Amino acid sequence: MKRKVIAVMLAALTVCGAVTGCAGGGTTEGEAGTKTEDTTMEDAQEEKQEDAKKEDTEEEPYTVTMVLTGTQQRDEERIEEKINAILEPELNMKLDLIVLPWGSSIQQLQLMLSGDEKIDCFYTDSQHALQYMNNGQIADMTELIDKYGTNLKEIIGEYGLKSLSVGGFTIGIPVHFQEASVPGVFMRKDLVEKYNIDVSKIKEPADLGEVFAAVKAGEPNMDMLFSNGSTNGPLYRLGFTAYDPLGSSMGVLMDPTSGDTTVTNLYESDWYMDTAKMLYDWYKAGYINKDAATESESWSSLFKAGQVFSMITGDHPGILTEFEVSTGYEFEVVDFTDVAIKKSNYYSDIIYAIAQNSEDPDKTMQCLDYMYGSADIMNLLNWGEEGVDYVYIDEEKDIIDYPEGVTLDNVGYSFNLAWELPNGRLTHLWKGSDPDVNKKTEEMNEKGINSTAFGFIFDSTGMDTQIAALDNVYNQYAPSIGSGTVDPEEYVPKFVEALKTAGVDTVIEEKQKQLDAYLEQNK
Amino acid sequence: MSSTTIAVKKKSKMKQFKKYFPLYLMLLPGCVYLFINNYIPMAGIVIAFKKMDFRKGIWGSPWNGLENFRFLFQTKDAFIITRNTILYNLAFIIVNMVVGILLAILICEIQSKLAKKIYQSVILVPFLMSMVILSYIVYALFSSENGMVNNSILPLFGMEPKSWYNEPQYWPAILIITNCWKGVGYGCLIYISTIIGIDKTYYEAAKLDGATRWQQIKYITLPGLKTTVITLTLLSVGRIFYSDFGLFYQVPMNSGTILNTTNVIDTYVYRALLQLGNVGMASAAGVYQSLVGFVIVLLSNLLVKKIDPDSALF
Amino acid sequence: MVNSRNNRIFQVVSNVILILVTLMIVLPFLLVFISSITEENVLIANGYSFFPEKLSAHAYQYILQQGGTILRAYGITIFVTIVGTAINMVMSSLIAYALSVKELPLRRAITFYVFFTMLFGGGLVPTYMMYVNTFHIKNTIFALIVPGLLLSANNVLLIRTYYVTSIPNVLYEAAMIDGASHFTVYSKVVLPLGKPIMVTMGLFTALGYWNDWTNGLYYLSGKEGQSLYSIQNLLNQMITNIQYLSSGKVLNVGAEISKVPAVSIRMAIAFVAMLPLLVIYPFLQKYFAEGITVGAVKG
Repeated sequence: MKRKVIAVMLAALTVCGAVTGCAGGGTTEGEAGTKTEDTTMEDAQEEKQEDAKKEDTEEEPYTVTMVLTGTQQRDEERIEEKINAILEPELNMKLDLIVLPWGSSIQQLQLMLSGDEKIDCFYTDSQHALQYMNNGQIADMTELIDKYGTNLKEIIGEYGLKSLSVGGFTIGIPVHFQEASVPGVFMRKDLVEKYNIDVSKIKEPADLGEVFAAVKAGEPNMDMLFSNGSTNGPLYRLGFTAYDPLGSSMGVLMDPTSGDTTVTNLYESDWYMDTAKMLYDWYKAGYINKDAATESESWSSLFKAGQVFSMITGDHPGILTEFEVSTGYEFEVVDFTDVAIKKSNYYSDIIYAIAQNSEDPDKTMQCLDYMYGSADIMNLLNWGEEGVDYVYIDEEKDIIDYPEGVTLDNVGYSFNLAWELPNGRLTHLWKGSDPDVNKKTEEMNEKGINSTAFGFIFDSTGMDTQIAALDNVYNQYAPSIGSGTVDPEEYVPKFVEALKTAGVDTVIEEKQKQLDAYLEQNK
Repeated sequence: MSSTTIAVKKKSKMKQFKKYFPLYLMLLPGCVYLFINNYIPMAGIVIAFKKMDFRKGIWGSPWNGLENFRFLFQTKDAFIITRNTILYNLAFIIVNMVVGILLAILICEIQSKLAKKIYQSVILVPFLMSMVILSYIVYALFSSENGMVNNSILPLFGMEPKSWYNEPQYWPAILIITNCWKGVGYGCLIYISTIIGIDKTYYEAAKLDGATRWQQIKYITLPGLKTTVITLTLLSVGRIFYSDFGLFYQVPMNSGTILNTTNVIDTYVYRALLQLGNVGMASAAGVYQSLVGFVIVLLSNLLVKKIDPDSALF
Repeated sequence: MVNSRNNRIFQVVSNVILILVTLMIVLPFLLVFISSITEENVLIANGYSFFPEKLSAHAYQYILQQGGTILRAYGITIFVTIVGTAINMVMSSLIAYALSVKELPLRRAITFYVFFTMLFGGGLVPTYMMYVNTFHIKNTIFALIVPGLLLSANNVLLIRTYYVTSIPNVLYEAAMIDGASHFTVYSKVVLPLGKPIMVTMGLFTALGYWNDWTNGLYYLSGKEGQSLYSIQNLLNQMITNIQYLSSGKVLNVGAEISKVPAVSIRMAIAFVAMLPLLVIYPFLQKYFAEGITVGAVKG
């Protein structure tokens, strides 16, 4: 009996081996994939040789699969057709959009890049792109940019393109939508007027205490300041000009324009302690929403419901309109400083990368480069089709609105995420926008001062264990301290202690080394 | 068994094969599915020992030794998440068992047929709901600003509102109650049927002897439930290293401050994977969970076999 | 006499406790429903309440307006539940019957083969790679039916136990002597007699399909994928989207946030998702109780 069992198990194992060989069929298939790749590459070369003949040879157009994150639009196919009507004659290519939902996009993208699905390029940020690079999931774009990046070089500039090269591997290309911003407070205008607040007296964040006291006295049921524990929270926003996070905020450059290049621990700094204390005082006084650390309602719906008086955020041209449109109130804005700081992540925050799975990186790059220069495609992607999804109300100033009878609820296509597209600067402006917003943004960007670490990217390869542990510690303490809901005197020391146990010093040390090397190289 | 085996052995192999062929045919679809769905991906366990490079594929990636397991053990978190996972599961097993048995006994004692039926039906309703829906309900109750508990219940007792999603000390209770609320009906029904199955004559004899209701429960009902309790516990013990992701991630709204009491292996790995995208580390965690769960099941089954051979699983 | 008075007190106490338990179970569901018909701004300003200041049917109007999406999701949920459960039941009962035949050679080994899948798994990434690279189920309806849910070792073992313990051996033997094949025994004897366990396991399987959102999360993406979303996928997407967007991990999402349905709408969709279960459940309750008990008494 026993022998029989063993025999069967052996048999099962052999079958197992056979089929895993089959699962390794992933590999065979992978090989097949590379083979087709080779042939297409050959095709591409042929194509170059016989460029003139291109239009005669009826080669199948190559479909570029581009992954974005946002809300799935009902009429996506109609817009894709319109875009293809431009791309096909120009490049003999087609575009296939895949829009992932916000909440699960990182996870889904990770899976898609693990399988052998067709995916050519996608929107991401440098932190994730570095992981993808380490996992062998994206392609090096250095040569591709050299070969095909004509529009890119003109629009982004050599400097911006080069800044995404990590150890000779270019992880992506920056989008053209940089917005330098300064921390400022947005207060509801009606209440500012009702309580006779003199906004010229607000010079620094601490001055807000008095304002809140005055308004709170008359509006006891309202929250004075919207706060939450994330990057929407006041502490993070106030930090816009206080430090350069150098990627992960574990090890930062305090006062990044001073020229000091020492990487330090943000959470041990006086600035962090003082700001957290100020917020905690406000929280105790009842100025801050009680759920701040886990607030799951958006600031806009809280403003809309009349619950909140003010919010601290990054001020830049155009944002006021966005605030007023999404909340239905008018706002008084006070900036805490005039000059923005362009930090290390200026170019690397939103980038496009080319997937390792791409069957034809060359064509994908060509297509991307073309899109950077095509206002038509950018507008189709962002606003949909003219006359159907939007109409001009002032063609000269490039201002648009919904056509008669179309609203947010029934519009067929209105992606409205210009900052995520390759060149969002080319998109039309929505009704109510300042027609000069692009010019003003340009000016503000020009005026902004570069951080000492401008363009630096931290590569955390080999430190995954520490990063995982640090991230856990961060999630545990930062949201509550940063939203002002816990006493910093008690929690900040605990936080710092936990960070040290998790190995923050090793990360800071490594960061310092890389930063020094970077500065040396870019002298 | 033995006589048939001998009889079968005498016949030719061909005949035996013919006799059982239909049965093997019946086994085929299910076994093939399990092979595809469960066994082939097991080969992927090797990822846990590799430095994954998707350019080279699973088999081509370089070996990495036990490097991927380091993050599970190196930090203090490792202790917390392992402790939380085990303690929560133990608490779930015990609380659901105690509450389930209690309710089962009560329901069995009810004389009104209609009332009995209603209780029995209602108690299983939460079991039908998905965790997503449950997380909506818990948030409606415990949100600091809008929640029922802070707005309506605490003021009744003259208590101050609490910032529930910020205070770790309440979460063991909230999670255990939530889990019990959702899951108790299932066990309860099993206990009810076991109680119904207990021989009525025991009770009658006990009554004649003047046993009180409490004594009847203590000496007849509870011992009668023993086998069922052991079976159900054994089944849950095997999953002691796993946790319901929805319960620990969605219900606490992924709040950081309370991580000390809500972080379990599954959520830790999920967060680490989101942050790092390191497939090797995620696989390592899976291997760790499977191995420990496997060992625990074998051990507890062995233990049960010693104490009460009839109740052992295999 | 004393005994009967004691008994009455006992009855009252038991009933009071059980009524409290019943309320604890029913009230949260009521809260979901009432929140779904509460005016949105009242909900944000005053919080959740059983007696809201102002009611509004806006959430349900919104659902009707979005009719297409939600109706289709409903249809997909129902289709997947029916097809998945049917295949699952056929495969499970066949395998359970074969394993219940004591003299089947290799029976123990095969039982262990089934049982082992409860203990070990390969993890998400290998599973995903296999299903997507080799079987190409991404963005097909199979994605919602096949991975994970099509057969549960736990159910197979429970059904087998039921067959072994609850169907008298004599019946098999009689059938065999009459020259019936295994297929005849299976369809004429075992299936009819095993109805209670089949119904119960069927219900659990159906529940698994109805409430599943992970398969959709992993295997559906883009427009083809989202057109296959089940009702739980929609719900889950809403809740994760709002969490993500309000977490501020991405900036400039003002317009995006306003596209996420408001609290009352989320509650309404949650209610719509659980409604069919609440409606069907009373009719199936009997089978549930019966099957759980027969199946689980001895695993």
